[in-house]
Amino acid sequence: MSFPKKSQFVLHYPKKMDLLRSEHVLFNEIKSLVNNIETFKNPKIGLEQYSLPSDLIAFILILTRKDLINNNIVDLGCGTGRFTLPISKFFSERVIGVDSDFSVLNQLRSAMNKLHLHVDLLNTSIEFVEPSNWKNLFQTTIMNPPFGTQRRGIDQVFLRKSLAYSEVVISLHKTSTKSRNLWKRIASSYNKRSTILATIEFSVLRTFKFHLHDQHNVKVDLIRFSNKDSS
Amino acid sequence: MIIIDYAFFTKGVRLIMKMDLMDILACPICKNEELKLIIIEKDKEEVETGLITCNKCSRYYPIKKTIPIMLPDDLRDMEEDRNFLFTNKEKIPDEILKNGKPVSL
Repeated sequence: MSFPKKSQFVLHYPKKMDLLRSEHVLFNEIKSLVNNIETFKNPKIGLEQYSLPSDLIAFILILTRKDLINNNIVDLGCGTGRFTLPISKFFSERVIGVDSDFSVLNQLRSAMNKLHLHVDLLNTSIEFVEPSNWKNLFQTTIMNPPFGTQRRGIDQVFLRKSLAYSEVVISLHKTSTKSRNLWKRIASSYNKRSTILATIEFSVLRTFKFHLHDQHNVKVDLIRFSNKDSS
Repeated sequence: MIIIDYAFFTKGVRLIMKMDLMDILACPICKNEELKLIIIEKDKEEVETGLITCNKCSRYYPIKKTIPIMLPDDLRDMEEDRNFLFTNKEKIPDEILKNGKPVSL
């Protein structure tokens, strides 16, 4: 199976990606689980709440699974749990979903109960995550942070905070040469390096009134940040 | 009879089942890490409803539907917090009801 075949996203980099037969099965299982997790009921503009297509989530989780399997994981800005819940079912039971919006965490909790899964949830805002405390408990952070179009620089806040306590950060950021250089510099200041795993384009359905069209395309980099001295 | 179930945040005490969440929680305002847990309602192993309190700055943080809500004052709904205190007043120590921050009864 290769991408992008009938998928809800376009893969710009790498040019081609083939899944093994076993990965193909996992891909479909993740996708169908995510299809059962609702998107935002009343998305809040300021928090840039939008959801990723289910096949893109499956793709990302399979691509990064070495960093997920049996690790303690933080899903930062977890929203309705479209990363959190498949991670807890297929990769690691020790995952915590953190979000500043109580209503979406409550929504996540209902979905979790329906799916007979259990993850820890914490309602707090990114500014109040204390890296020194989190360092001993978590290895990997996965996140799809706000792009910073509503609150300038918030994507940087997410990145700096997670780099401060995680060994590995898996993150999605809008593609641009300027920000790629910025992420590289930030990573380096935490003694980490950034590797672009994929560049993906997908369409965000019209969620807010200020979106002029029914859907608009965004191009993002899936970036892995890891310690300089490790693989 | 009213039973107030106190437990202190120490290593190994679990608020939530899978991880020692205590270890990572700190008061968002004064960064105090020695927080106290007041259990109001329990569901099996989990705290369904409760309060996390900080005795340094007198703040309290509700746990609703098992989710600890650790937000700074400006992101809190004071009206809802007051209601929370009122609804559970029989299981919350007077000190918090009277002098708790950011809002008390």
